[in-house]
Amino acid sequence: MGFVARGIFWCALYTGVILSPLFFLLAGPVPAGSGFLWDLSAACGFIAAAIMATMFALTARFKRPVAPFGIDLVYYFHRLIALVALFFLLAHPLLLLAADPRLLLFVRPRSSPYHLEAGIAAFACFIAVMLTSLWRRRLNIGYDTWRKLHALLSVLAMVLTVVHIQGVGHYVDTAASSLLWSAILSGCLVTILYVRLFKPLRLLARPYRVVSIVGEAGRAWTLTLRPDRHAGVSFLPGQFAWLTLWSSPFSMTEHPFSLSSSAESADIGFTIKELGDFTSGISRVQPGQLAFVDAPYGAFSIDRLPAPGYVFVAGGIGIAPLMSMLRTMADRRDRRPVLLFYAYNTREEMTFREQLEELRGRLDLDIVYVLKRPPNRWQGETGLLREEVFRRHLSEMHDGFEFLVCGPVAMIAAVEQALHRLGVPMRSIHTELFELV
Amino acid sequence: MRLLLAKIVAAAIGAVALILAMLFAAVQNG
Repeated sequence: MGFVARGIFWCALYTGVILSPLFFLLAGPVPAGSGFLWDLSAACGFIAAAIMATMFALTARFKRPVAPFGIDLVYYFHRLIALVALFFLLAHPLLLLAADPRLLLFVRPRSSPYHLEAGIAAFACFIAVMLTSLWRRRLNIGYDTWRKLHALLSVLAMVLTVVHIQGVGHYVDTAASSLLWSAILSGCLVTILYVRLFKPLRLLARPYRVVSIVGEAGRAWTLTLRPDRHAGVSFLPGQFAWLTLWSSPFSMTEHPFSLSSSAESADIGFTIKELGDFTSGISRVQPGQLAFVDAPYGAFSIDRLPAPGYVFVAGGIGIAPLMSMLRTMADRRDRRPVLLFYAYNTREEMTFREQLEELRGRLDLDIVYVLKRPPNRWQGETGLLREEVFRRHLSEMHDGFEFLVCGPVAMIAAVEQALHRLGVPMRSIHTELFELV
Repeated sequence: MRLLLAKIVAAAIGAVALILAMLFAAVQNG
């Protein structure tokens, strides 16, 4: 089965799980209705709860379901579907109050029914999860702290939701509904066990050692790891991995980075720019140090996009996965033509500039550097990756090529639009989101 | 393209869920 068919299958299965509580209610024997708004509110509540339950699976990084989409897209979808859940979650109490405003009288601290308090607490937890995710940087919450808070609040929200649903009891006291909710909750529990226990145990049994740490231009570091008494991992050029340093895989301090090394090499390399809490300490890594790698992930790879040639577009450290593809092509003696657009602030900061020049000799590679702040007498492209830049360098020769774009989200959106306006089919433009959270 | 597709899928799931919820409420209340 191809990636498209598999993608449709997993989308259909996911939709089925979310809608399953309503299918059961529509198909099975249920108690008499309580009024349109009241029943609509109950249905909205069930949908919100089902979406919340599926969040655990969406972020569990199950390799098979994630493969057709790429994990970056699954995480992006996770954020979108959370907004859909928020809509149903808000509709649930608002519809109830619209049906009977006197219900507000029941909301009194310490004297409300326990299931009502559980529902309100679940709602508060969910809102807290949303706000701390959407405004993580604005609230100045570190990535590692946020991940722990996110996991804790999510589990708490789900537990409180179950207490609320069971406490209310309406529409879940049939055998079929009880079975369904038991299955959904078991799924959540198994997912949590997989993520927090089985996967860390597996990573612990397959450690890596740091071979070298090399400073690159643009405040970036290339970290090379070697499998420690195991075969390592095989990956497609352009994929990425979750890396744990300085702690065990149980610590929830892993971070996603693109692999920048050749897929043909046994050692694996990450090129990491000093940007945040974790990355600013990367220069302190010592050779011989233990590391754990959860890989490979991502659908951004030439190996998944057979074509007569490629156009790569990189913004800043977005060059890392493209470098992996170029190095892999060089190792494979792949002479298909590649045109690389590489945008950076200054020439001095440009990561991999010398390595790229060296690769020109081993590949059919053309490079267009685009500098925001060019040096004096710079003859090349300047400013941003605009439509005119692409128009000057793309020709009929590039028809049928696949376009791979990696960099900041704003750059990706602008490049996609520019290429599309120049007549590049959207199906030929492939992107990788770097900002997962 | 991928981001747009993700948005379409999320919106479609929400729309179908809302329609089913309204259908359920309508069926329950004649």
